[in-house]
Formats: sequence, C-alpha cells, structure tokens
Amino acid sequence: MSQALVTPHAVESHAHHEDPKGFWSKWVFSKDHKVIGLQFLFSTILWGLVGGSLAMVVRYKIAWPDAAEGMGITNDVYNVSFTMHASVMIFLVIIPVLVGAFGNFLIPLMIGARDMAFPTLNMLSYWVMWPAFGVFIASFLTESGPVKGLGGGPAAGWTSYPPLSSVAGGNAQTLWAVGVILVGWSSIMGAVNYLTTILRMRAPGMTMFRMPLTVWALFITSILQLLATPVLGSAMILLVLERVAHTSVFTPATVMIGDTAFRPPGSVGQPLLFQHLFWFYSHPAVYIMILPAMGFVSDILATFARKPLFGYRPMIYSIGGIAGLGFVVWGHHMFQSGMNPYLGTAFMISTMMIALPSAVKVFNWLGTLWGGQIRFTAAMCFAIAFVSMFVIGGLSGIFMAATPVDIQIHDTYFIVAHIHYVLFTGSLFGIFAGVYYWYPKMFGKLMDERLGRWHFWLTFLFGNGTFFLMHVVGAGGMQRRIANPLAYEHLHRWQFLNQFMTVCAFCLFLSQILFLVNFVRSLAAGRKAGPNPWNANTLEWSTTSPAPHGNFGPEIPTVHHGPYEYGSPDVAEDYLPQWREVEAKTA
Amino acid sequence: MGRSRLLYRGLIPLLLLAACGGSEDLLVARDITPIYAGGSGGGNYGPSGGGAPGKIVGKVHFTGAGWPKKKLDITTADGFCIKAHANGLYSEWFDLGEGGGLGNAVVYVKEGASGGKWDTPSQPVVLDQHGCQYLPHVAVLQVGQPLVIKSSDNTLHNVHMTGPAVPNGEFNQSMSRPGEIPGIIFRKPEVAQRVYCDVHSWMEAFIVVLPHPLHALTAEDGTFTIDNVPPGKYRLAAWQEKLGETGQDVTVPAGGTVTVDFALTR
Amino acid sequence: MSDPHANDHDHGGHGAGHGHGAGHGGHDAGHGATPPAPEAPPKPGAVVIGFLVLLIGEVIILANSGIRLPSILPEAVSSYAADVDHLFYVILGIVAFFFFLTEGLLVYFIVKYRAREGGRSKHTHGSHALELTWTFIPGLILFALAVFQTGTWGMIKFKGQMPHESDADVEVVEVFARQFEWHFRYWGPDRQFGTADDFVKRAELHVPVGKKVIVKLQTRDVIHSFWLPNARLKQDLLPGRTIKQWFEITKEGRYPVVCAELCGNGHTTMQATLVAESADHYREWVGGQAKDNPLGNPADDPMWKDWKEQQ
Repeated sequence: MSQALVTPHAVESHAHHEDPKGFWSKWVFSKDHKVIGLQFLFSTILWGLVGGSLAMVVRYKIAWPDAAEGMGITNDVYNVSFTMHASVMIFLVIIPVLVGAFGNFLIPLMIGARDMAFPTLNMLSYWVMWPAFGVFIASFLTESGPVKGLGGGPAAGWTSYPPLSSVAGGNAQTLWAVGVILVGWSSIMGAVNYLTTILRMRAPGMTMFRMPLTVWALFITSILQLLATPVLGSAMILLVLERVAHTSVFTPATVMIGDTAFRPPGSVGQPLLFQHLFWFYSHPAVYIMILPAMGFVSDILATFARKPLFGYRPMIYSIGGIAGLGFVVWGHHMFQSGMNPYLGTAFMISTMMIALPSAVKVFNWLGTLWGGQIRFTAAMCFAIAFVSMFVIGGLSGIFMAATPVDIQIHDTYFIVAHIHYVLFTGSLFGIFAGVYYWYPKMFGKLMDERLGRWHFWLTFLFGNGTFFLMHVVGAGGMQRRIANPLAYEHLHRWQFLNQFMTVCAFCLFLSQILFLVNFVRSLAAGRKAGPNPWNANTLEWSTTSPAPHGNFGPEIPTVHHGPYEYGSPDVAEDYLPQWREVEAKTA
Repeated sequence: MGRSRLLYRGLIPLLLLAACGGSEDLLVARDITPIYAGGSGGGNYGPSGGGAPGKIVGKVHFTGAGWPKKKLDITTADGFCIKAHANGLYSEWFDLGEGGGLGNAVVYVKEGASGGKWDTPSQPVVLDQHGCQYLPHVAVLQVGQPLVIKSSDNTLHNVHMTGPAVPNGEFNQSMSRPGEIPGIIFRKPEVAQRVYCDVHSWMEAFIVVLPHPLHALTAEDGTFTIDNVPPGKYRLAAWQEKLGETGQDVTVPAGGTVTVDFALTR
Repeated sequence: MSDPHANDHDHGGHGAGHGHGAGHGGHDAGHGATPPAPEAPPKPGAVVIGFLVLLIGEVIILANSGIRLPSILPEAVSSYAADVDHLFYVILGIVAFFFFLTEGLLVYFIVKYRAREGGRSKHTHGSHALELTWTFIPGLILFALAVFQTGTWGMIKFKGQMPHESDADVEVVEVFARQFEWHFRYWGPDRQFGTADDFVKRAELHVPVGKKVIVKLQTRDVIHSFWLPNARLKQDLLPGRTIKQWFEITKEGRYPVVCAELCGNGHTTMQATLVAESADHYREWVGGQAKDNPLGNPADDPMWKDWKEQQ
C-alpha cells in the first residue's frame, strides 16, 4: 500500500478519519477539509454580499450626494460604509475565500493527502470567523457610534490611523479592532496548518517541484501570513489598549478635539508607529490576496490552453520574489506620511523592483497561451481576464512607486483604481475562475457555461466601467474618502464620470446575481461531472467528484510527473495526469 | 464612561505606561462645572409644605471691566458663512445688556428641588444652526425632555458633544443640508453641556439640563422670572458660560414673589 | 495505468462509465483532448470585439465629458510641478508601451491559438533565454526609472535642498490644521513669529507669486494631509510634530487647498483657498491684515492658546 510511503503524520491523521455520521459532525462542526473549505466559501459569498451592498451606498453618495443625504446617507453613514466595505471585503471575503475556502479545499486534494495535518485547528480557524463577523456587525449596532438609526460603526477607514481611530467615541472602533484580531487569529491557525500539511503530507512522488502552482502560491502565502499577521495582531491589540486603557503608544499629548485633551501632558505616542506596524502586515496582505489567485490562474491557463505552464520554475521563484520583496516595500504607503524622505527613496527602489517578478509572471502567462489550444470556458475567460486586468493593476502601481508622482496621486482615486484593479478584477476574477473550475470537484456538478459566460462579460464590462475611470478622476485631483465631490469647485468637471462609474457599479453588483443563480441552480440542476471533466492533470481530478471523505480510494495515488504535462508527445491524449505512469517513452 | 475611567485609573499604573497623576479630569470639558451637584445636600433646603406657588424674579448683572465683542473670522472655502453675515459675525458668549444686565445666563434652583415631583415636558427644545451660528446660544431643558437639533444652512455642520451627560460619552453627527436630528434625550442633569461644530470652530452653544422646571434664561437685559415655585427655601444659582456660577439662598413665600439679583464678576 | 481513458478511472468506487457523460462532447479514443466545455465555446472574435467595444466606449465617454487627455492633471502652477508632470508622462509612456505590448499579445494569442479540431499544443516548458530577457530588460527599466525619480523627489522633500527661513525673499507661513479647518498664521511685515503683527487667517493661504514659501505644518488633533493639487505638493500632518515643506507658485490665481487624509465626518469640507498674488499685492495685504486683524494677536485665539498651553 502506498500509504506506507507517506509520512507518519498522514497515516495518523487518516486513522482518525472515520466517516462522521451525524449531521452536526458531518456538516457543521466538521473536521473534513473539504467541508470546511465549502463552509468558508458559502460564508464568504454571504459576507461578500454585505460588503458589496456597502460599496453601493458609497458609490451612490459620491455620485448624488444630495439625493443620498435625503435618503439618510449622511457623511457619517458614508464614512462607516467605506470603512466597513473595505474591512469586510479584505478581512472577511478575499483573504478567507482564497486561503480559507480554496486553500482548505485544494491543498490536500492537490498534494494527495487525506486531510489537513491538524483537522481540529482547521475547524477552529473557520469558527473564529463567525465571531469576527459578529463583532463587525455589532459595531454597526452600538448606540455610541455617530450614526443615527443605523446605530454606529467604525468610521476611520480600513486603515484606521490613530489618533482618529484612537480618540473616536463609542465602542464601534474597539469592536472593529477586535474583529480584525479574530480574523488574524484565524489566518495564523490556517497558515500553520497549510505549511505543515504541504511540507509533511505529500503523496509519494509529489516532490516540491511537482506541486501545482496553486499549492506553491498557497504555500508561500501561508509563510506570509505566518510572519506578517502577528504584527497586525499586535498593532490591533495596542489600538484596543489605546482606546480602553488610554495608553499612549500612538496618541501623543498634543491631540485635542474641541476642548478635550485625550492624553496627559508628557505622553509621547507616535502616530507613525501604527502606520509602520499596519503596513508591515497590510502590504504583504496585498500579496496574500493576489498570490493564490495567481496560482489558480496559472493552473487554469495551462489546463485550457492544453499546454504546459511556461516557465514553471521561474513562476515559483517569482512568487517567492514577490513574497520576499513584499516585506521590504511597506513604506511606499507612507511616502507622504512624514516618514523620512531619504527612506522614501529606498522604499521606492524596492517597490520598483517588486514590479519585476510580477512582470515575469505576466510574460510567462502569455508564453503559456502562445502555441496553445485555447478553450474558452467561463473559468478560462476569467483567467485570461485576470492576466489582462492584472497588467493594468500592476502598471498603475508604478505611478505610485515613483515618489514624486506619488506626491500628486497619493490618497486620490488613482489609488482606489489601482487597488480595485488588483483586488477586484485581479483577485476576484481569480476567485471566479477558481469557482467555475473546481465547482465540479466540490459538488459533482458542472456550472452552466452559458450563464457563466454572461456573468463573465457583464462583470468584465461593468468592472472596467467602474474602475478604469477612477484613474482619470484620481489623476484629475479627486481625493479619496470624500462624501461630496461637489463641495470642491475643481472637482465639478468629474461629476459626470462619478455618476457613470456609479451606474456601472450598480450594474456590476446586479451582474453577480447571475453568478449566484448559476451557483445555486447548478447544485440541483447542473450536469453531472465525472472525476475529470476538464481533462486536467493535477491530483484532485484523480478522485471522484465530489471527493469522498479521506479524498482518495484505498490507495493514495503515486505521482509520476509534474503538473502541467499537456500536449505531451509521450501519450496519445493531449494531457498526462500526474498519477498516470507512462512506461515506454517515445521520442 | 465609568468603566473606562476605572480602567484608566486602574490599568495605567499597572502598565507603567504614563506618569499622569491627577489627570482624570482631562476627559472632561474645561471651563464648565462638570456635573450638576443637586440633591439632598444641606438638608435645610426644600419646600415648606402647602400653599400657593410663588415666583422668583430678578436680574443678573455683570461687574468688572468691559470686554469688547470680538469679530469672528468666518472665512470658509465655500463662502457660505460670509454670505450669511454681510456685516460680520461677533462672538456670542458675552451678551451685555443695558445697565450691566447679562443675557444668556441661566438662573436655576440648585438645591431644594429634589423632593418635588416634576412633569417632563414633551415639547422639544429646538437648537437651530442658522447662518453658521447656534440659535439660541444657550438652551435650557429638563432631563428627559427631547432636544431637536436643526440645521437651516445649506453647508456642512457637525454637531459635536462630549462629556459624561452625553449618552455614551460622545455625540458627533454631521448635517450637510437643512434638516433635523430629532429626539436627543439627556438622562442626566448637566450644567452645562457644550455643543460645537468642528467645521466652523467659532460655532458653540450650551445646553443646560436640569431635573426640574425651576429655572430661567435671562433676557438680553439680564432679567429673569421663575414661575410656579412651591413655597420654601432654596439655593439659587446663576450660571454663565465664561463667568462661571454664583449662588444665593432664597425663601419663597406662599403665593408671593421674591426678588433676587446676582452679580457675576470677571 | 496506461489506459488512454485514465481520466475516467474512478477511485471512489462509482461506476466506471461515469466520467463520460459530463465533460466529453464528441468523444473518440484518439482524442482525449476533445473540448471539455459542455456548451459550444464562444467565438474568439467575440473576445476581441468585446474588448474593442469597451475601449472605444470609454474613449467616447471621456471625449463627451469634455475632457482631453492632457488636461486631466490639474493646472500646474508651481516651480516643480512641471518636473512632476514630466515624470508622470514618462511613466505613462513606458506603461502604455507595455500595456499595448502585453494586451496586444494576449488578444493575438487568444485569437490565433484558439482550439482547433484535432489540434495539438506546442509541448514546451519554457525558454531560459526568454526568461532572462524578460527579467533583465524590465528590471533595468524599472531600476533606471527609480533612479530617474530621485532628483525631483529630493528637490521637493529633502531637508538639505529646502530654502532657508532666513533667506531674504522667503516667506514662512505656519499651517495649523484641526477638524475640519485650515488656519494660517503669518509672521507679518516684521518677518518674525511671536510678535504683535502676527496674524491668523482662516481658510485663506495668501502667497506671493515667484517667491519660495515655506509652510510649517502642525495639527491640533488627528492626521490631516496638506495638499495643493495645482502645486503638486502633498504632505501629511502628524500630531506632535512640525513638518516643513516648500513651494513656489508661478501664476497668479486662486487654487484649492485640500485635506487628503480622512480626518472625521467633516473631512469632505476641509478645504481652503490658495490665493497667489503678485509680491506687491501680497505685501499690501499682509500690511493691512497686520493692522486690522480680526483675530487680534494669535495668542488670543482660543484655538491656538488652548493647544499651546497643552504642549
């Protein structure tokens, strides 16, 4: 039996995996990585709707500030909305869906393990997310907040720079920080688990350099999470102390609002310290939010181009390069913050250099398409669009990396455009591609391709309609986080574009109904998928769809090749799965 | 507030994070007597029993050197406030009437009213933001009586209050066009709660919250009348935002009128 | 394991024919590569047309909104604004080249290499030479670009390159921010702070054209960001610190002064006006303000006083 070759951990964890019987242990407090992955997926879809709705409030207020005011969307509601839109989308949607949902679901299946190394820890990492969500929601409901009716909510932006965040009244901001601490806790638990699983529980023959890019991306993402998240956690704990115990780490004595002084004379808090701690996490977090999507896209492009991934090793090294450089570029968020400008020069150079591995990835993706046999499934459409949109998101980053140009575009809509090209048309397109691609493995059914393509085209069109013009208004001088652009005479000329973007944003939000309909309808009415509906090579396609408890049959498959042997001359088919042994090699 | 104050006092020495002796009052607005001190103190004050209610009348004077009214710089980028006041706007805190009478002062029963049963008026007190100033400058209301904050201005104001009497310690809400924030209710007495606008730093108003109706706001000439006072002995106080508070004992006869004059000094 | 239908091997114990139904359209033994899509794949032409429609659509919208590309950036009116804009356009040029290169290749590839009946893809795992090319060329460009920026950055922000307060033709203004106002404290005709002719002006920053102005940025409460979009100057204000910046306006006019960092619920209105006037007018204005200053000496301004006492 080939399990004998597997590390002791794998055998041990398999021994614990009797099929759970009851509803609760099977579907709710499950320790099966696939169920936990799906729990993450369903939860993040729900939270994503919350975050998306908040974005609609934000867009409506910007485009029609007066009409919005009449509907009760005051500046306070606006501030809370964009704060929570970003917080929910980043902490409760993109990170958990990429790492929690896909990481959980895919890692053991792709490396040929029966489950995660620490199933209970895994379950915990999911169940910590609900208290986090609860705390975020509770922050809306605290009476203390500034907003009448809705209750309250943190209003200091997702970056929550002190002193604004440390002196704001009420409990909302404290609850927000607690929510972020919980999310961070979940991330750390997940990361420990993934790293152990990937390092210790690979199937026989699955060397590190035979792992699919998705696994590599999740592996390096986990390292980032493990190293960076504790820094965020400590920043948030300090922020909570700052608020409830009135410590003076970030808030100096000079801060006065109205007649009120917030710290005793002599307090020497440093607001800049928070920014350093925050961005030391949050810049790597940007890569946490894009690397796994890059992994998915690499796998999907190779599968549907029916061609080996171009430059497999350079792709891995570039992920490593992004992750490594990702730790020395955080200062580019702080060029205008009062940080020493000499330091700004150093951060500019490191930031420029981080564009390099990203460029290498783009060229390799293009190389993958070159000479392929491209099939335009919905997953492939999203993957190609990811490449195309990531180019925009990556190139616009160069403007910000250049310190003198950043003077002008820092804190403007140019930044908002950039982050949405990376996180919406980047990460989210990768996520959509992943859902269309692995849905058959998750549920044993195929999603409707026609609806999928409609969903793609509408999302692509309205996504660009919403975000591209933000570059224009940003370069044109519109700063971010203002509730009413009409308060500025020099911004009147952009109001038409703002309204156009808002209309596109509404359409974009509505387009996602197609995805939800497709997702739900295919659960019941989708066509049955075989074990390997896409004729793909990686190990997850060797088992049934959906995979049984324990993932594989009695024997763990043995791995004989790299993950991208498409169009191999050794076999008659245009793909050569990793688990298939080819005896006689033809030249 | 209480809990965080406790943490503040308890944790800071523990954490050795700040050398901050005697700093607990920093969280309380300055220039303002922190909390209404009414109640059973003294024991000599209170209604004397039956009889028709009486009346307290009088005048609040200002003594001391004159103080010129100050013209405010009300330039803003949108120009709204300047347009609203073609002849300029002057600071409101010092409203000196003829003969040294002091307007916008509050005279109220500080001690002796705690035994009475008082109806809470349901009629709201309205504080209007009009032409980048608050009208009235001083508003008196009873505990439980609703306060409506109104804006008549087509520019952004924010209504900001902090302090122990404010529910949850802070109220900070923006109004970017004419409208109303209805039904703010104070549950604790407070002399006096400052209301201010961070967008226009000259804008401020004071809200005096009392547990009983035995109070009056002085007219421009400094005169005041408190009606329907049950006969008895009271400690009466006169308060003004910058000059502080001064007290006097007064005995109100059944069905009669008593005259009290106050002098507030700089 | 050498069965050509390896994908149909079923490790979970389901029926062996299971895999055929779902993904395989026209299935025959020699073509494991049959398009897996259950529906007909879209014409790649649609991809191109969609992309073009989008591009053209956005161009039309831009054109109709009365905006021409060169006028996107706010009017440049400071001595170093042209340098910043020049760098912006240099980057825009490089970026546009790589944008059209990559997107062009992408569109070309997805049209040219769409799946054909019975077609085989090139079996290649990459090219060392290509990897080196597209690592080193962009690497050099990026590094050169970074070095190219440092001069302008240093000129605007480095302390060593800032004008001195003591220079005869330098004006100094203390900028004092609070929620949600800009206050400007001028040193008056005697060019000395802390004297009787100092004055404070709310929401109006007057500067002489053609002279270097040093602004000393302070905040009373939270972090604000002092932004002059037309002068290409932006700097955050940090509580507890005084940050010096400089600029020189080259054209008379009134320009916005904006707060670019979220500072609370009145952030949206936190603005002031930059009034750039000729040196003569400026001197006249300063003289008039110093004599007839509505706020009196700044020491009387409660906002300054409270805060200074606190420190």
